[in-house]
Amino acid sequence: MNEEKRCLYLLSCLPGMTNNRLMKLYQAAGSFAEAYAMEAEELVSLDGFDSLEKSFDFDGRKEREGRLIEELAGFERKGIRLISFLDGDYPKRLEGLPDAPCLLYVKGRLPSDEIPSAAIIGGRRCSGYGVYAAEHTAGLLSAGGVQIISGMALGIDSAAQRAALAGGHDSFSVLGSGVEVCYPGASRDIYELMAGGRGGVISEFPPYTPPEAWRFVSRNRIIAGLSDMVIVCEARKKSGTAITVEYALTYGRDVFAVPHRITDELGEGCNGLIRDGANILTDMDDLFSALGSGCEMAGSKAEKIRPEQKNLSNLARNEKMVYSRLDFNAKHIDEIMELADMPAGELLKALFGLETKGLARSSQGAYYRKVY
Amino acid sequence: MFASVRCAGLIGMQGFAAQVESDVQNGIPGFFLTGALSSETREAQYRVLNAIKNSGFQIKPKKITVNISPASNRKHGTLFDLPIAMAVLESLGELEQGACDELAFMGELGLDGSLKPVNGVLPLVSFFKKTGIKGVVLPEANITEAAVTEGVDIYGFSDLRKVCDFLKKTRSERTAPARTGSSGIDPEKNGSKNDKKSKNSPEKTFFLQKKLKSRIFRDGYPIEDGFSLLNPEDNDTGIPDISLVRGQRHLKRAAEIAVAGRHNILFSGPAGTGKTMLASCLPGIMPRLSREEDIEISMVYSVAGLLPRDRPLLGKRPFRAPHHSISMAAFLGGGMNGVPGEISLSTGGILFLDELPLFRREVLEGLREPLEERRIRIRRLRGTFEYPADFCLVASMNPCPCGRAGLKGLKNRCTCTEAQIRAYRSRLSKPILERIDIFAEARPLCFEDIAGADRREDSEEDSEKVRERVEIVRQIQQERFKDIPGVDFNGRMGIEETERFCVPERSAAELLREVFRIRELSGRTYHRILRVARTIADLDGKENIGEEQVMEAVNLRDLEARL
Repeated sequence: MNEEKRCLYLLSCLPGMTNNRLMKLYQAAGSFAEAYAMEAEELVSLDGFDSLEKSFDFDGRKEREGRLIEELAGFERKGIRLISFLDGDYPKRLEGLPDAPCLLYVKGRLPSDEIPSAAIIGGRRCSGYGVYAAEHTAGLLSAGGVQIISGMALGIDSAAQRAALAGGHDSFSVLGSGVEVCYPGASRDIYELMAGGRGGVISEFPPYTPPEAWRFVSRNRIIAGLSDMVIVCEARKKSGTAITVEYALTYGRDVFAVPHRITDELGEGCNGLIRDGANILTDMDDLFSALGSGCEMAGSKAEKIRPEQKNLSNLARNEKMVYSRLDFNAKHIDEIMELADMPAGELLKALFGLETKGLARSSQGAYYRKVY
Repeated sequence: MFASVRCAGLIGMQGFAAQVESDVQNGIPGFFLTGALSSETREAQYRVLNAIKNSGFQIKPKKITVNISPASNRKHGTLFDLPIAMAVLESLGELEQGACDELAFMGELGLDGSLKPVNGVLPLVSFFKKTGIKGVVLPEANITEAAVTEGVDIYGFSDLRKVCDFLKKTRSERTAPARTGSSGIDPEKNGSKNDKKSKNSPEKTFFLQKKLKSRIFRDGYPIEDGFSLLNPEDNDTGIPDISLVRGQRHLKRAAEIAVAGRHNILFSGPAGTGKTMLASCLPGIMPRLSREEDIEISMVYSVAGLLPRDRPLLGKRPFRAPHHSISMAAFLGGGMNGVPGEISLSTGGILFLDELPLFRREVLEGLREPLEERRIRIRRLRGTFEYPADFCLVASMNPCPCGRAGLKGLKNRCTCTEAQIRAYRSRLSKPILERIDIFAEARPLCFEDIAGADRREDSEEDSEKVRERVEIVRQIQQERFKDIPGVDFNGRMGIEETERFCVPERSAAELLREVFRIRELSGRTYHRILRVARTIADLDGKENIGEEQVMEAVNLRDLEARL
């Protein structure tokens, strides 16, 4: 690791340091090495650095430096790479963005510059319909050779990434914490896959940074920056998703929104985006053609977004009956029992039969939903 | 003069024989009380002296020493007041020497000489019976409770004066059958001749008491209507009927399985879905109490002083729902005198722990021994107390700390963060979860469930119907485990019994293998699933465990993986 990057790393670890300030320092001093060597008075003379004076003057700075350098060595062992905007392998998509991150920590890989990428995002609280939209588009896009980027959050984000990974394709996560912190814990399965090389986990914060609300706003810009297109599957009126969309529009990315029924409060944000001029997602073809030439399509013609009719001929009578009573949204077993009118034991046997055939899934002990 | 009177003390539920010795000597006047006494027992000296004076006796200015032997056993409670008074009176010469022989005494005295009820009468009288004592003198209010034990004569009194009057009689006068003194007639013949008219006559009463194998007296006279005293109607009041819980078929079925096979169960579900309501109905679907069970349960309640005074026994299965802020001692039992805790008070019934994750960790950890051994041993400096703790554990929890996760509609939205939910769930310790056989998920109720469209109202079964099925399953289990000591319910089977009695049919075994593969279940759950499947098969009237039973049992464990 060269001196410049080490100084960038040390600077970024200073308390109160932000991406903007790093950039300013770089421009003022000419290089990070020089910026790091600056005296306090010199620094204060720079515009807007009054509050940083303390951190630069910090008595234990040398001692702290030792610890940070030690940690830095540890990152390598953990497979964490530091990529600065001066490096050759810095993502082309981020270059030239007004607030591009100076330094990225990467566990696994970065999304390739040559292959088209799409962000699939949405709320943590979501309906079965939203999850379907996320899983289905993620599955088809990744099968068509598109890199899926998202934030690993509960709900839509992780559903999309899980679907891409389950299809044998790679996915990339940008985190609001350090790359060594798996947040949320429920996404550990996909975190391990991506960090292990099935795509990658990316963050602009030092690896052990805990998640904080403001960091998620900041990471949303990187999600938008790394993607050629942003697909909003389900969002309420006010949500973090809106922030990502805003960045995407600033960066000139295509925005697609999944249409919802007017009665769905969870989908209000999506319909609002469409009203405001976002592309409406009704067909996979639209996505593929928007992504353009770099995209090798799966098969000769793009697949349809509607669920294909499953072959139900090998189902037992009971299973068919139960299957027809299931829905996108998870139903309590009492409800299914009432609809299907059969005793609990038989019903559960039928449900398990459907589960093994990949047609149903139990979401909590007593809730079941349809799988498309 | 020296006198000694018999009584008994309690260590936990165990009685020990004690003697109150009183000695009157010349010397500096005073009253000395010894014998390892707790503070409330020591206070007896003031109560006794005043009660004696106010009952019309003189206390000579002498040195009176009273000792309760064995002096090494700690005595607590107020039941020693009466025997102390009797010993003092006898040693003062107010009673004939030997007047108190063959009798045992217990009771608290008021300053005016009145006799007040005491705790622990049930175990004490049955202890007296074991040690061969013929009659027990006690407060009037304790008569019903004392009369449960057959084979001991019960003499209940309202005050000290009446006790003394009674003891001044000769032995044969004491047990005279009637107030009127019609002693020449053979009571048995007389009673059988006129039936309706003489229902409450002394002769009839005497006849009934003979059938009871013990005689009961109030203030020295035989009690009328002693038979109905011991056989009051059922005490099922206060247990809500299960038909009041609307909808929730899954939850009710799970509860029925749990009660039938004595499996421990955890209800999960959003607030206001009827979890607590259902739990409080469960004593009503458990098998009817036998007299032996009733006595065993009532013993604990007697020691705790919680028996109703107007009935001999508790007469219903207990339902205890301690608050989650409960202390160790109140939950498991303890204190200086070793009073029974909630787990013992729920013996034979339901121990309901609402909001399980909010209970203190050490309280829940304390459940491990009683769940395993079905009794609790409390070790204290003064000794070890042992109480039964043979309950069916019913616990409930919300899916998240705010209790709204899973509810429909945006107004009721759950506001918990993921970290909060994780912290809430992680409060459940693995060892406790491992002792729970059944996990059931409540469903948020819709309007029809609560308001009850006709169709649904008809379909709600009442407790009696469910109880019939549970009784049948109990009989099946009694037959199954008749040669196996220590096992009486499916939920209590060890691995050995499980492998012997819970062999699934071939197709069911294959299905189970498949389920384990797909759901990635741990091996530890295998036997628990089989035990529950056994109970389901019993309920379904199946001899063997089939596919349906296996699937239902698996479903009742599904939730565990998410905790």
